[in-house]
Amino acid sequence: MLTLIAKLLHALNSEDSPRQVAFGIALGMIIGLTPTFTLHNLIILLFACIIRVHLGSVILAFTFFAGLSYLTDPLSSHIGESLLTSAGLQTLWHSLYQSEIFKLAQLHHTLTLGSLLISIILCTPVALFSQWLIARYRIHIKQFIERFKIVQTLKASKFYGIYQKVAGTV
Amino acid sequence: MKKYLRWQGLVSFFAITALIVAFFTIFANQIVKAGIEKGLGWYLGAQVDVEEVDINWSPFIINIDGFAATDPRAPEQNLASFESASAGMDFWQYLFGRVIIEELTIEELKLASPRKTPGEVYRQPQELTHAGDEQSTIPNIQASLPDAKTLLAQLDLKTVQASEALDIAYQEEKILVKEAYEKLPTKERLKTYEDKLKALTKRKVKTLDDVKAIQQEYEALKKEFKQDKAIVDQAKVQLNKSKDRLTDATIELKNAPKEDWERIEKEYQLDKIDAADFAHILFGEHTRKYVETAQSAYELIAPMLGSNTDTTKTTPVPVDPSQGRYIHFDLDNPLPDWLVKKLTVSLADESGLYRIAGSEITAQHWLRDLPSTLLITSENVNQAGQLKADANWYVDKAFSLTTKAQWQLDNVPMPQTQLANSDKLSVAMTQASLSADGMMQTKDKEIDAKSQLLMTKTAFSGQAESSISQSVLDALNKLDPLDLTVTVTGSVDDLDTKISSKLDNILVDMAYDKVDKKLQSFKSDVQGSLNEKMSSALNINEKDANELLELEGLINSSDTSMDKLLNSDVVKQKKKELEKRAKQKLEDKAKKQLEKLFG
Repeated sequence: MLTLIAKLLHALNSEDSPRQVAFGIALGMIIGLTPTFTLHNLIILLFACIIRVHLGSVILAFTFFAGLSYLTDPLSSHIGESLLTSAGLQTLWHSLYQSEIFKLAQLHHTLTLGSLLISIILCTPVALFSQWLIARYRIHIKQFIERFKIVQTLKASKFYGIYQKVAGTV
Repeated sequence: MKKYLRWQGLVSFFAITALIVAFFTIFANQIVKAGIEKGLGWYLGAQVDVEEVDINWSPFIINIDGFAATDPRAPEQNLASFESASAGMDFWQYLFGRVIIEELTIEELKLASPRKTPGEVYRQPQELTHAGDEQSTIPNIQASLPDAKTLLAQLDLKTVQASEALDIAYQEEKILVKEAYEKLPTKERLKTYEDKLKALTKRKVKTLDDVKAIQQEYEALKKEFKQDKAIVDQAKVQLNKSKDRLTDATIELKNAPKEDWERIEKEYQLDKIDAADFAHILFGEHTRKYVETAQSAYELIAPMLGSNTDTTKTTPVPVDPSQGRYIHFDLDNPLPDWLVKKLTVSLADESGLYRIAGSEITAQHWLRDLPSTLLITSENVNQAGQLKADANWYVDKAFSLTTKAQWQLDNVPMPQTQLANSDKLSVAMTQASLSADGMMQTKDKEIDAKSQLLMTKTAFSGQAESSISQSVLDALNKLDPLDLTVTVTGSVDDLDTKISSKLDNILVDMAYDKVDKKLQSFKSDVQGSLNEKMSSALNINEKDANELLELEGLINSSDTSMDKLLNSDVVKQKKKELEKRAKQKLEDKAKKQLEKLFG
């Protein structure tokens, strides 16, 4: 737990640009909200490795949104069910179902389709919001927080040791 | 470009992916082994063991060695076991959830083989309702039938009861009729009536007043007659009642010996020789075991025949919302959920080695429009016999199962088989050579199967307690060939098994031959005794019957006399006499006047 918080702080305080961290969070959110072992997550993981996003943020966001998915799964499943059983979309699904990739991606699964759709829709807003939030944090909040005595006490604690390990500054 | 991409990330990705693939490749054998043991164990409800699994990746073939699935009904034996099996699978289709096996080979498949240690049972299977559970038995004709006298003394016979009833009826009715008779007017009384009537008849009438006087006296006399006549009528009613009761009792007595004989026949099962189902008694238990095995096999494969994912296409089923569900659509080139394109099995049974070749083994035949076929052959059934059996089945889109099968067995040496083992009869078939042919058709759950079996070079041994059992044993030893026709019909949940054979008729005839003399003598003794009892009862009551007849005569005589008295019309007679006399007087007077006139 301490490691995770340390990672969060490191991400926020690192030299990486807020955009890199924000995109990391957005990709991690997709992996976290959708069923883990799926084809699209493998592709997202590949993106996360190739594109210069903050990997720690990906892992962190995945952990957070995977927990959040217990709350969102019923809604995701319902959206998927509505789409897959919609009379107007039957021709589309029928033609997509002929493709092996469609089935391999398990997009005929209500939860997978619903959660993927939600996470794709949320991807850009989450990325932009995260970027704005990180920028605001670095400008205003970081210095403000460091002035507190408790923060200074914390810096002398075991937790700070872990943080420094994560940051690679020790 | 370098600003946005990190190529070392690509290397890391592939490294991690390779690590994962390597992990699954290294542990694939253990994963599949555990999957078979746990998955199949859950399905069967009992322990499943696999010695080793070896996966060949190109082409994708799974090899399984030392498979043993515990029979949940008998944990000390296996439901099925085999030495080795290899399945060449379409891995790409497997990723989409389909098990498409190009070729499945199973070596040394054994059914119901003993286990080294009893397997664990996870859940108890449901008990089957077996067809033909009723036990037939050898007719219980006793070795020593009792003699007629003892039998009549022991049994509460109807003849005895009826003769006693007739006797009592005679005694009681005699009293009643006598009582009625004693109330009748005496002979003297009747004589007085006759005398009075005679006196009235003889009395001379000169005037109408004389007639009137006679009429008055006659009316008084008639009143007395009527009172006595009522008593006579009552006596006649009692007589008729008594006659009816005695007639009924006599008829009952006359029928009693026949009814008693029927009861004795039933008591000593003399009637069961005709109806004895010897073929079922001797071979029913073995047939039942085969039917049970077939039922168990059906129970095992039935869930597979009923699975069709297409049904979920448009029908939403209640699911856990957090889990979601798969929604399937029609495929342009559909494939079944599972399919074995080619099957080769060598089945090693204690009776011999069987080769099984199959094709298109699936439960969704309509998708490829091809039926499943199976050919079973053996050249060494019980060391020397030949077997050829073929079957094909097809499940259509409405899950309607149609099956056709036929088989032929030739010269199969039969092992020693215990056919019956009861206190009355113990029979073992020590030797036989079996030839058989049969067919089976099914439509959904309805089965129509017929097998004709012919056993030659038969030899039987055993022990018999009763004469009928001895006859069965003798007949079996003399019969060669021995034929059997087994038919199984009805629903798979409630099968009706029938076994017929010429053996039945032959055994019935032989049983009759054996016991005929004894039976005839017994029958004649018992029936003679019964008839004697009836005759003696009838003779004893003959005296009483004569007495009753005498009383009947007397009552009837009194009745006739009374009728005669009642019917005599003395008044009318006297009126006529008066008229006649007046007429005569007038004639005489006229004659005298005429004589005077003509001189």
